Amino acid sequence: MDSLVAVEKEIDKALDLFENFYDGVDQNLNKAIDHLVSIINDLTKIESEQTFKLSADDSISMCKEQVKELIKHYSDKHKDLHANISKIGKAIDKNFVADYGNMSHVNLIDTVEKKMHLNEAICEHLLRSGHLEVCETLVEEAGLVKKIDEDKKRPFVQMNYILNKLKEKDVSPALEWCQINCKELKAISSNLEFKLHRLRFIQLIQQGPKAQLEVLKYSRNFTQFANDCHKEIQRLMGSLIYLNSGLENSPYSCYLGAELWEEIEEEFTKNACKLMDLPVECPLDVCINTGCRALPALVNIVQVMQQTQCGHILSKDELPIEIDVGQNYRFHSVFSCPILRQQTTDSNPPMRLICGHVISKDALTKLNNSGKNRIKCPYCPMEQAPGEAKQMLF
Amino acid sequence: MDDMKIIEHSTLKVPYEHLNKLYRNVHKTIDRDCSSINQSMNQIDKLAKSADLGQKSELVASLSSLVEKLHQVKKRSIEMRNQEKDLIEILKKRVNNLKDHSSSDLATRKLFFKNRLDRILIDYFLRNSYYLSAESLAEKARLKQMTNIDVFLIEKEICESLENRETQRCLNWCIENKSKLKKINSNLEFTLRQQEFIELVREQKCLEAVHHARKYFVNLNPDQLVDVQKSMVLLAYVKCSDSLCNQELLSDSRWTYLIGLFKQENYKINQIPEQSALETILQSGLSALKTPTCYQKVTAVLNHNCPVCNPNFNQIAKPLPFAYCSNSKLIDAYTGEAINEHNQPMMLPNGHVYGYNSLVKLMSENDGKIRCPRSKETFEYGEVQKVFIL
Repeated sequence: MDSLVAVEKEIDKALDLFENFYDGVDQNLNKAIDHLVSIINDLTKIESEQTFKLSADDSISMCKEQVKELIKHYSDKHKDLHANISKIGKAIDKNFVADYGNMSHVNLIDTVEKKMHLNEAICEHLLRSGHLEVCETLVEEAGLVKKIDEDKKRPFVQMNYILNKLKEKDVSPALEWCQINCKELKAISSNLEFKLHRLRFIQLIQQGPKAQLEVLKYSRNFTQFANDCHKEIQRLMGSLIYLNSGLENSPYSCYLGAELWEEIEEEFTKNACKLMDLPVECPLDVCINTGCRALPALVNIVQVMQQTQCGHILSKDELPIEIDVGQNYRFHSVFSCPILRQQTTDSNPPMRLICGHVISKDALTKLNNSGKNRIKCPYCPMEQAPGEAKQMLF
Repeated sequence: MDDMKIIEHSTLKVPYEHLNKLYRNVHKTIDRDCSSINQSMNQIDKLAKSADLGQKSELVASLSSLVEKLHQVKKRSIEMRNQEKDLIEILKKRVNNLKDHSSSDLATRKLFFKNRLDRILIDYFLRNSYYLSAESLAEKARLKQMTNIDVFLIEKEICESLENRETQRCLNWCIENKSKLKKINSNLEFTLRQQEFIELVREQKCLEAVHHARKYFVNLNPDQLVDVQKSMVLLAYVKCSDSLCNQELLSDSRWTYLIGLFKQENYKINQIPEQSALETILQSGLSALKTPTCYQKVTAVLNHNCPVCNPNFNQIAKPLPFAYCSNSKLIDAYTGEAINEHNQPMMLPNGHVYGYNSLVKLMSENDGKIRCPRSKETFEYGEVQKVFIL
């Protein structure tokens, strides 16, 4: 934040100085023009030779002084402004890192195939965020017509339509969708439909006493949820008391918040993606968010490593530092063998010893070095045969 | 250091460079105007010193023309004032826009991140010549002012002319940016002249080619001299279509090389980084998310939500390093919950591991028996063994 403040300071300074400079120039020019015009007027009126010579000489020398001043001011003061402009540039260079701190190592997208993959991923992102026309333009320009066809687009088109309607606080398309996919939603134990009905109920209540009958009729929709959500239904029916006076000043005012609408959009997206077997969050989004989180730490390391000439971090097998991606973005179990401090892989899986402790297969092999058929767990006094260890799958 | 410092350098530097360029042009105009006024003033002064009544009208005329000049200078200065002010305002707007990164309001921050991704995509589109997509997205997301589309549109024109085998536009651009190209020791102008020479020889206009060489191949450094020598050989073998040196010099790949070189120099003098922001951030992100599991053949553990398991990113992330993990971090393959001291790991007889909470859930769904979600085998609770992860 202070980096922006520093740059903004220089910009504001420059703006001020420019204003003053040009104001000054304007003033000087006007003065000079006026002066010259008055000289012209005077000279035109003069008829006598003597006065003419004198006054011409006088006034023109004065004018010459003024004009020379003006020129000097115009040129020199503008030159001075350059210092302020370059200060802006220096502030930017000081407070921001150029060229991504030399993070770029090799081209990530070096083959036509990889470019196609990236473009596909971008298309998916565009479809999800509702930029359908941009996606179509990209498909044409990037030559992806075969890969991104109507079938792929259709579910997103529908999803975006429903989301847009939700943004306009219209729940009917979403409810329709829920009713069509009722069985699948039940399988993933989703209460999306109930939440949608709830929102509609609150909308109707806000219409005041004239909607009384409609509200009561609508509440019949809650019967199917009587078992799962009866407490919530009780609360909602309780809010009917405030039909006349409105919910704003009642204990039920929490139902009027905008967060409920944001929450329903998110809930709908999650459920729709689950049903369509799609990842909940767009993969490109996840990558970019994680990347932005990881960049500062990685750039630091690259700067340090440049001085030691160990090669670039992206050319190694493993990153040199741990990046905390947050619990939300942990998609796979990572088991790090406590003995060898290596990640386990297909060829080096985690093994459970009889006592319950877990080490990697390589560690197990190393423990068995002595050739005897007994190994002792590194963490407790339990002994066993190496073959008794069981391979685990997280 | 936060991510904004790393990613947004060129967002601010590019309009700054525009401002710099404009400033220099404005200063040139000011110098010109000043010297012209100076000239007129000196003339009038001379005239006035030796004037008599008869030359009154002449004097008055020159004074009037000076007044006219001053009016024009005034008009120009107002124009230049507005231009310089506009560019500074653009810089200021961008700085203000970037402030949203640290806003205390979550919704503003979310919108900023969304816009940032759109800006990164627009930059990627422009670099890869998907100009229509870039414009379309910039319009939809209302981000035109925050992107450097104008730089790329100029680049587009010149690249198109180079693709049509025309060098003039690119040469004009070189002349316009002469001082900056000199600072970075650019070879672009020389390479363009060399290509012109080759084209003249290709059309068998050998005499013109020699004139051209005499005019432009001057003040060369040793590397350029070697190139010139190679090209001169072309003159001798002009009828010989299959000589090795001819093939190399006459091939179309030289034009592709020229386009690449032009783009490179264009980025350098505009302070645009060579690699796109998208690639840089993707590299870091994919690497931080990459686990050996994503590349294993056991499909049972492929996580739908993991970007690296996504078939597109899977290919892209292959050469990147894995994420480093000092301590084990386990998640349940059934529910995605974290496995830790609150949700202890339990192993089924088939070797699959789940968290305790998942087992409870599985038992409630299946009459007290545990049905492994991955292998579909059923087990009793008694067969489950505890696992200790350190």
